[in-house]
Amino acid sequence: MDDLNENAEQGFVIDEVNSVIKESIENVVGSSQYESVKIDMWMNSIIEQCIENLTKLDKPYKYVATAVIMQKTGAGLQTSSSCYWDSTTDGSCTVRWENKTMYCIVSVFGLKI
Amino acid sequence: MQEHQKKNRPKYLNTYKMEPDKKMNMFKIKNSMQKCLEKLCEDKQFEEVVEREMIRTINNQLHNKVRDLVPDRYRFIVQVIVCERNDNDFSISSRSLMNNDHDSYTSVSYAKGDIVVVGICHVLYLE
Repeated sequence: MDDLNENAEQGFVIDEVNSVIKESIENVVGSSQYESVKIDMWMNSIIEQCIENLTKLDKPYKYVATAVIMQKTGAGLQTSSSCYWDSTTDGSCTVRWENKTMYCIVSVFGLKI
Repeated sequence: MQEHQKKNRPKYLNTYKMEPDKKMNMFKIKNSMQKCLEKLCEDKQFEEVVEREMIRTINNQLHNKVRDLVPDRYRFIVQVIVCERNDNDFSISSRSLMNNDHDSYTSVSYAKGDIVVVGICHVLYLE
């Protein structure tokens, strides 16, 4: 019974998740300049779309998605993450996106149930 | 290597439990993370942090503190974000698909001078 489950396409496929995230970012802020009034709405939309599309993949995974948006003014930004999980079944994917006025970094972590 | 790992992976005995014994108390983790951040980042400038790649040290220390506090059969994720204050706007948001009865998250932040450090910790039950 366990073998059957393992053989199904249940892994955390980074390419798939990568394209899901890129699509979500581009749909929401693809062609916009940074506007502080819209930031709440953008953040919510990006993250919601990411999680929604990830659940559509229909895999037995729990997901954690984090997004950081920063205005480009010459300031520096560093991010780092560490995880305590099973490296054979769980995985993560980080997408860095930018346009002329802002940076957007989205990280998604997937943990198998 | 993954196949080798799969073969050697310890097989957990079935506990027949539907839920963890107790839900994680995030308050302890939050306090511990806050103290650790304050101790590490006190009076530090952004350039110093970047040059020395202190973000790795911060993350490692937070990771170790959380690992000591988290009980068995739990997995966790620790994220650290360090940003320079330069008259800019930045926004951090996080959402997760998890079981609210068993899993939780916490976040801490420290801002002084020209540096802002944010730590996020998600704790998820292994089923």
